Amino acid sequence: MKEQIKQIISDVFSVDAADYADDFDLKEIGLDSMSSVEVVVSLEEAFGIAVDDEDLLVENLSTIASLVSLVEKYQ
Amino acid sequence: MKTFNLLSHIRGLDSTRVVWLFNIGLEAYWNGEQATIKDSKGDVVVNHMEEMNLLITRPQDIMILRTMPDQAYLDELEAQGFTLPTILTPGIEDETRGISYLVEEDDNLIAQIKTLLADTEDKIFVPYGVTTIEEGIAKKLGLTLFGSPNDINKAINDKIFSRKFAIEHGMAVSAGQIVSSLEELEAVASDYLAKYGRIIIKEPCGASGKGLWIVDSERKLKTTMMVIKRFFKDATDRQWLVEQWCDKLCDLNYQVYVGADGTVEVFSIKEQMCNDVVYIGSVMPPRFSKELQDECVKCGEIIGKGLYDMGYVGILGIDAMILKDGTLIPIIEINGRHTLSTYISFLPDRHPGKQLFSFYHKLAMTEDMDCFAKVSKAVSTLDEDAHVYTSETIRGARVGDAGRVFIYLVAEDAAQVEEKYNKILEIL
Repeated sequence: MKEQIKQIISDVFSVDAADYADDFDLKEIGLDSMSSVEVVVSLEEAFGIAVDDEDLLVENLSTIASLVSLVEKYQ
Repeated sequence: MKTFNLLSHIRGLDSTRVVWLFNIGLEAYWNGEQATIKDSKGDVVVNHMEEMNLLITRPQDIMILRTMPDQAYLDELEAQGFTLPTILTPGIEDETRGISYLVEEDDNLIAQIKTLLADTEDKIFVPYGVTTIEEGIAKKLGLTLFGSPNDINKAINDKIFSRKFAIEHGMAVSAGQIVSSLEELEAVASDYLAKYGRIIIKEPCGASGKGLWIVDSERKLKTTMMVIKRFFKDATDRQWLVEQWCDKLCDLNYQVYVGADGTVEVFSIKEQMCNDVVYIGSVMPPRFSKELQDECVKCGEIIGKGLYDMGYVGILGIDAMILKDGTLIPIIEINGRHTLSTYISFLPDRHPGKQLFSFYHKLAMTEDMDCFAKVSKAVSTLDEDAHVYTSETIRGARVGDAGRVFIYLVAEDAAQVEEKYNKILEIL
């Protein structure tokens, strides 16, 4: 799952996220309220999940670890 | 009876007492939530940009702020000759809500303002923009509201309205199409992408870069459509705008004053530095030709008069661009409200003959960081070590604890601006 999430980050931000640590702050590569939307829809499509509006917060999406937790919550 | 003129007031030629409110975030009120993820820390930063309003207040005015600004910041403003108003704050601090709600619910604050203005005949309420909330506040305060009714403002702050207005008035626009369904959007966007290679999809009422999607590949179009469908799947009456992405010489912004008596004045033209759709800074005066600046004035007067005829009163912030072939696209977007550009419009008057660059800079966040102190330290470092600046040539506005400062540089020419800008980035 983590590798798949890193691939999504790589695609959305045009970076190589393969070596990112779990707690790497994705804001450093441009995560903001707009780009995080792309991350969410990509996660939803890749993992067949639907994230509730109440969880649509930048702070829930700002590290690889938080993205893993988010996907796990909805799987 | 004389008609209040906001520009005369800012220029110090009028004794009216103005009650200012920086109620940024009107689009969310008019149009509900946008296709974005909530960024509570980012919202706090945006809300604290209210302190920029202090660049245009007069000593007899009242400024309502969320919290009292950093004293060091106020001292610096005064030292630089800015005239500070009486600053009042609502009794409740709530970073998550628009300031207008806090003011409207605060009977003590309303009473305090009314008492302060009790013996004053000429007084007026000037918010950043007008919705029904500010109309209600004006009523509670017993003040005339400087602005037009909510419905007119809502209609104007719409990118589709802007495009239609430009076309109706014979102004150049980029290739584009208005679409009325998700299916049509997907089809038109795909056609435009094939034809132009790079396009922009606009949600009509987005602000601050929200609701704008630049698409330069099929993959990006697929993701963008996923995003739009995700957030607007139930929308039945939504429209979008698909436009060719134009190769620009530069972006620009011009500010137009529309008085209650129909007075129209184009009072500021700035060259905007942007990273695609994200604002970086403003160059004053702009570096493009006098002919193009005259064309901006002409278009601004047409827009101001046209919107006054619709019932609009207030300030218009108009985004425009100059294409690489020198063509002016006079309207990308009309903002029927103040914009950040409004508040820095009068800085050049303080530095005649100089080149100014106003920009914002994000600072790394730490819990105990004081943005203003950090900027001040950077300036003093430059003074001692680089001898590039004096403390007269930089002003930083602390805009909250989240770490973003606005700075403007004063230089002799564009080359010196660039030199100073690069230096300050190194230090910060």
